[in-house]
Amino acid sequence: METPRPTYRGHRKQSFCAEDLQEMNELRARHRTFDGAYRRTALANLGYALTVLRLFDMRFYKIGILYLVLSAFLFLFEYIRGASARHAFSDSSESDAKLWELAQPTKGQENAREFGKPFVTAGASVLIVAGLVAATEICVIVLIFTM
Amino acid sequence: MQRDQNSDRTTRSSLDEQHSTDTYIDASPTADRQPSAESQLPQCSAPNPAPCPKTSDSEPPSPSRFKSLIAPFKLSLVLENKGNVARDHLASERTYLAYVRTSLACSSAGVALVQLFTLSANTLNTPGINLEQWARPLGAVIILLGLLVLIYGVVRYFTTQAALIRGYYPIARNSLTGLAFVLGTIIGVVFGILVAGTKY
Repeated sequence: METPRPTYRGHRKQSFCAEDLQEMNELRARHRTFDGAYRRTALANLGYALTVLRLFDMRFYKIGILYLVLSAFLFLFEYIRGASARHAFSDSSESDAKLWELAQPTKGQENAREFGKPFVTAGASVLIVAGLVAATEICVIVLIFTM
Repeated sequence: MQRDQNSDRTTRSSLDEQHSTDTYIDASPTADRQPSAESQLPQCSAPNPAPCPKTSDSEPPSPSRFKSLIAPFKLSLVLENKGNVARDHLASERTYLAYVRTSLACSSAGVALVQLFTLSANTLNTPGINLEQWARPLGAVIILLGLLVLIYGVVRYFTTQAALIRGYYPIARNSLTGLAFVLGTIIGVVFGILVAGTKY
């Protein structure tokens, strides 16, 4: 079953154009986070995994693979979290109705201009990423002592 | 927090009513923010007199009300994206990722330390100090520090997330000093061990 593609102000994604500077700022903030921070974290891991696998001796290869797996997960998370950013300015579908219902106001921003859909904060993925990184680090400690 | 509660008290009952009867959108003065292309337009011109319940009470006054409000989305809040809201939370997420990178840098430094100490133990043949026996405990300590940084990052993220919707920001001061101090101590210890391990 194919879900209908989201439209952007009634048009296809390719013809989307930011309305003004404020809207551009919103998009920039999302790019800094998903294309910047998430990707940088994942790439740092990838680089370190390669360093461990290629430079360190054979006993460390499990640690290298661990970092490689973590890096892959971080790239996955970049994609998943980035999806919300890609749909931030798309037209609301029926599934978004619940989102509008749940949306809470923020103190001090009640009268400010509203950009697109309600924003879902990163709480859940923050916790999952933390779990993954913590699991990796605990595994590394265990591997170091059993090496 | 304290002084905000007083102003919120007058509108609490009306807000309760709204949430219980699920007429949140209809009752709000900005009901025209229904999903549509027009919702992109600036809403600064919306009138905002004091007795308006939605705009004057931006947060639930007590923790229990707060919990009941975000019960279905305890971790990820759903927020009206007005003004700086999304940008603030995205910045907080980037800060969290910076903590994750610090944590990962710590753990990779720990692994690298184990490798390099064993390497230099093989090549240096130091008389006084056995580098290899220091390598694993020291590496593990650095990785544990990374774990602590990670936990602190998570705590910071959720503190900030809860604070931002109340309209303030918790500043980190002592924790950063503490982290710098601990890292400095570890660098000092590693330096000391390396110096003690060199031939004289």
